[in-house]
Amino acid sequence: MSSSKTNQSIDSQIDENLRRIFEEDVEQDLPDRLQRLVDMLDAPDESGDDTEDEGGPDRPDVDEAQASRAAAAASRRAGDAEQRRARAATRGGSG
Amino acid sequence: MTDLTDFNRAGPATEPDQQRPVKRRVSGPPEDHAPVPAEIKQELVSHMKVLRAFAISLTRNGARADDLVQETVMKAWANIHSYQPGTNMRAWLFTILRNSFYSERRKAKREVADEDGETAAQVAIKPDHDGRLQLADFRVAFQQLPVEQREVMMLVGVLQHSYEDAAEMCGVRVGTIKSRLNRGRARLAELMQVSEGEALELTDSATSAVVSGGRSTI
Repeated sequence: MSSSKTNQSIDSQIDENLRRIFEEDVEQDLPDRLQRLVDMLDAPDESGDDTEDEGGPDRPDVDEAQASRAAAAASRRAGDAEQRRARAATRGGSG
Repeated sequence: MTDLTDFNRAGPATEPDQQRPVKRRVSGPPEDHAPVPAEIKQELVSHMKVLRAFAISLTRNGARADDLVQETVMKAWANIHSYQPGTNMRAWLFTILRNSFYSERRKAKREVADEDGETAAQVAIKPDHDGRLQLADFRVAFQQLPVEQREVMMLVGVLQHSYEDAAEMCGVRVGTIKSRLNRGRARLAELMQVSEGEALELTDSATSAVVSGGRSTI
């Protein structure tokens, strides 16, 4: 086996093992406080109620706004990543 | 409108019995916007576990990862109207998460020594008695890599983002992504003392079966 093929094999095995530890973490239950956050987001929208904000809704700080814009740009660029992952998973799913 | 204000009052809590004081409130999206569609909220929720796994790979600490996920979701919610439906929400969330992580890290670095540098100086992991690896050993070795390499290995190697996507998310050039990936893999192989001709495989068959037996959750 050539050296490059061997290196490719090691790389792919490293990726596979990384995938396993990542999946281990994904499969963990969410801790209570994150689950409560999920529950709040899952709750039905109460449109039309008057929010009793003292001083009105806060604006995100500058860092947040910048982060959000950068994230939106990354999101647009990465728009087809899900499809690639799905195709790769289909190809490698039986292995 | 869903308002996370009450949730935010509790604040992130790295220490279970010591909650941080609230620095600011992050309520729902601005009220001059239309309500957030339910499918957007559902998608946000659906990424929570992957987001947390990515946070664990960065922080190497479950409680800190939870703080980071909480902060990320709060920021994402506060800016949800900047998200364009149909684009990749996961990439958007990952970018917010890593920006938050590095921002926090920069602040912490002003006060303490670089823990990554110390960690990287540690000795190689010794293989198990039979020369093979356990999944736990692999995780320990991975955690010794610099965070910049860990995140690229996760984004490209595990989550199969393209080099270009990863470069966009990390705010670096494509060449930097490739370099970090190669150095990370080489260092990991070195830590695990794997050389050409050796198989990098797990002997933890129970873990392996459980993890790989079901359908992929990534």
